[in-house]
Amino acid sequence: MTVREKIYNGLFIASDLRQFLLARPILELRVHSVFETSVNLLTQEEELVTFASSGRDIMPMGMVAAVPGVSVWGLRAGDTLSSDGRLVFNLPRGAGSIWLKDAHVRPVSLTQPLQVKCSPGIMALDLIKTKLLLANADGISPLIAWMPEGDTPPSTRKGNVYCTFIYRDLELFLKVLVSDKPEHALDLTERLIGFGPGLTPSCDDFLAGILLSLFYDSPWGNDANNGLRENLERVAVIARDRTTLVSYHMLRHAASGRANEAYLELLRAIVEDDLDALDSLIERVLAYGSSSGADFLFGLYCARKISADNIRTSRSDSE
Amino acid sequence: MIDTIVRENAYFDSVTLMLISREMKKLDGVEEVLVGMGTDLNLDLVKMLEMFLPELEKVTPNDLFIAAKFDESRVNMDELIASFDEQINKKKESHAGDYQPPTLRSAIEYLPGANFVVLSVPGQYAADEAENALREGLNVMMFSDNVSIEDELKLKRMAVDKGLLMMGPDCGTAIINGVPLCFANVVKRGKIGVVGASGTGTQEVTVLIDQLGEGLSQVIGTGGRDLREEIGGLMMIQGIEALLADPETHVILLISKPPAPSVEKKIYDLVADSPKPVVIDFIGGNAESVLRAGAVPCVSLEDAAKKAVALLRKQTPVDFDGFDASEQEIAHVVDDAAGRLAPEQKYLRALFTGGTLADEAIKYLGEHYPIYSNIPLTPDRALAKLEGLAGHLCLDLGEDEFTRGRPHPMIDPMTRTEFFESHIDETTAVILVDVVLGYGSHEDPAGAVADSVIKIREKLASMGRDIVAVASVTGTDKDPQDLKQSIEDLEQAGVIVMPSNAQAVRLVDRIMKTAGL
Amino acid sequence: MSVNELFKEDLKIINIGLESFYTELKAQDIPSIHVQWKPFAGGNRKMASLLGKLKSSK
Repeated sequence: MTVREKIYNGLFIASDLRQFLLARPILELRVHSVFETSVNLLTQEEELVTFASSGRDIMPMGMVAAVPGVSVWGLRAGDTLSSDGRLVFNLPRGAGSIWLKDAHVRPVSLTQPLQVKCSPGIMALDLIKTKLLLANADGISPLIAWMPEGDTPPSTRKGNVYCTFIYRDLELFLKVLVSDKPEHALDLTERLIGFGPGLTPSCDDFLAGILLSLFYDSPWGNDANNGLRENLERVAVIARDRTTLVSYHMLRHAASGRANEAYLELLRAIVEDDLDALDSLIERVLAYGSSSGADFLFGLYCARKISADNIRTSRSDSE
Repeated sequence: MIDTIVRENAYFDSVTLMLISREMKKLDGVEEVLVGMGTDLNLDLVKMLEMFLPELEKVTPNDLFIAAKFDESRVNMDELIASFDEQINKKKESHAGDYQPPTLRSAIEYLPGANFVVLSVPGQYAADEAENALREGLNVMMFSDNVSIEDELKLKRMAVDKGLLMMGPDCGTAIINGVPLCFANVVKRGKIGVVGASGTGTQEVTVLIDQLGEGLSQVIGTGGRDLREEIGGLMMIQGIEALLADPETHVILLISKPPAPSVEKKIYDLVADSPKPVVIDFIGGNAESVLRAGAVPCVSLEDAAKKAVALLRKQTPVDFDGFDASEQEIAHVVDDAAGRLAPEQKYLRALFTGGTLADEAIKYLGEHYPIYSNIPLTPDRALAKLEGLAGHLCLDLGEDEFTRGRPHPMIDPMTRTEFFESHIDETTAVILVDVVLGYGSHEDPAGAVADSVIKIREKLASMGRDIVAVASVTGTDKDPQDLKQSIEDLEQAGVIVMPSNAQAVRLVDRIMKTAGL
Repeated sequence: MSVNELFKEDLKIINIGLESFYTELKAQDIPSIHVQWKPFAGGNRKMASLLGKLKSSK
């Protein structure tokens, strides 16, 4: 009997990962952490690469393979995987190989500019708020009941223990974000990064939503404000030592407009007021982690709400 | 007291961390538990909650910490750690089996090449899910009911546009490419193709075809409302066209209640041009118009099966309205049964789990006897008009009014068992039941009927009386239940088992006539 | 795609709803997957209809 080597095919590969791999003929990846549906690997340049099982959405520097769970690969923290520059990875201990050659390439940043409609996603924002209130998730998203408007008198306890702790700092952050110097809010992120339950702490998910929205928001994101990108990148620098490795990379990507496919689609659906798409996207995102998706949605909501209010104000000013 | 543990470079996904902290909080004596990654701000929270200990000074953002506040007289840290480890192991086990994605979209990614969706979510959500599936290019079988007729029309139009199947809503039976779906029997593959608007009717026909030695190419379900004016027979027509184009199908068989006139015309137009023989059982419908369309009409589901088989074998189809057994044998069985009844035993109790089988029974017997029912032939025979137990009764126990809040009686025999107890007494003469086997059905429906009959007969024996019970078993020797054992169990209990529903109904008619009921 | 093309393929089934249908398909070795389905709006009918209205009033 001949023993044939097991081949695992990639279903999807992020465009940035593909580019990264093709540019490096010889590459060693070290297994950093192993979960049920994903493995995180580090390159020597400390770039984080994610191999996930099917059912997961494609993420920056990630790929999704046709396996029910990643345990089939038998990877353990500390293992190394080598690639030969042709998008094939050999698994240790003869467990086979992972082939990414035929995986569909998926974008992890928006390729088209957002089409802001005359009513900037008001219905979409209402839908998000309703669904988040209903979900009553574990992280900081229950604060959506009071934010970003913040016009209710503060009570001693809001939502869960995390909400109570972070309420004031978050309120301040959002207040600066609506001011005429919104980029200063990014200086306050030190008081948020790394806070909350989960492997990507809640406030980081929240900030990812804010950063992603800021990156693509036309009033701020166009060439008129060149300083914005620098400011966003500063957040990533702050995050480096203040949160988990996975979370740091998520924030770094978000500051450059890269995110999970569903997160990008969500942003597009809000801006374009595409309620049909939004409805199922919210359900999909709410299923992320225990509260990660909800916290991200909360951040995105705040950023879009502020942006929508700004647009309305500037319109009525010009009339 | 407060205590803490730290796991360096320990990575668990957020869901696991959340479950762990919830389970630990449930332990008796635990006041507060924080499970998190050791970031500065998370440690600030621990301080604010006055749960900070020196061990936490050296923690980094990539370490997992658990900080707990508890009453040490009721719980100790070892128990908390044990709970932590137990949760982590439990999580691993629960994922050891098949991966179950949360959405249709992720299911499609995990099962590349998926081409079919079986949908049985509650009715108010079913239309949205079906629409998503059709949009993804998947064929749909919708078992769910309580879907609006507007939604049904929209979905079926969409399916027809895309060349997909949209079977249902309320479609219980189909066999596609040899795979029995929802409520269906394991039958041979062969050359007869069926399009059916009724679940158990389709089951009965396919089972009988199998027993006659032939097989099925495709069995397409449409759902009960397809032939109504509003839907226009969209799926029946789609199904007929597919069977006409299918080289494996040599004979086509259609089963439904009589269609709306405009729909009937469309079907007859399509059938009139068919190069393949078409057998039509529009139960209780007009045989003349079927003949005019060049198709073969039927007198029963069994007759439909026999005629399809005859046509496949190039034989001339003839009406079958008799018995497989000889007239002599039948006369003997009838006389024996009628002779067992006392003059006070006057009434029929027909308790069906299969809707079409009940329909077939009431349409036949209702012509000769006043039968009360939840599906009456005339309004004055509605169930509500029955006084006490004094009258003949034929029930479709699968109808909504009996299934509210509990499974269909084909899945859970309890509903029928209860009717045996409440509606059968010393005035009952004849019991008529169906026993439907196959996938979807209860693991031993015959056993449940046999038990009920034994109980009734014991009860009546104490009054010096007996009862007549007649059944038919819709099943094949390949079904997951044991067909042979099912028949034996029924016969052991004294039930007369007939080869088809139609023959069971006719036997009951003979017994009732002979006993003068 | 036409129904007749489906007749030539092997069925690969996604089951949404009653898990017993999936168990039975598995028992017959039919390639299939069960979706951990959760109702829209967490099964809250009032909220679901509210959200539905929100959508249709667009």
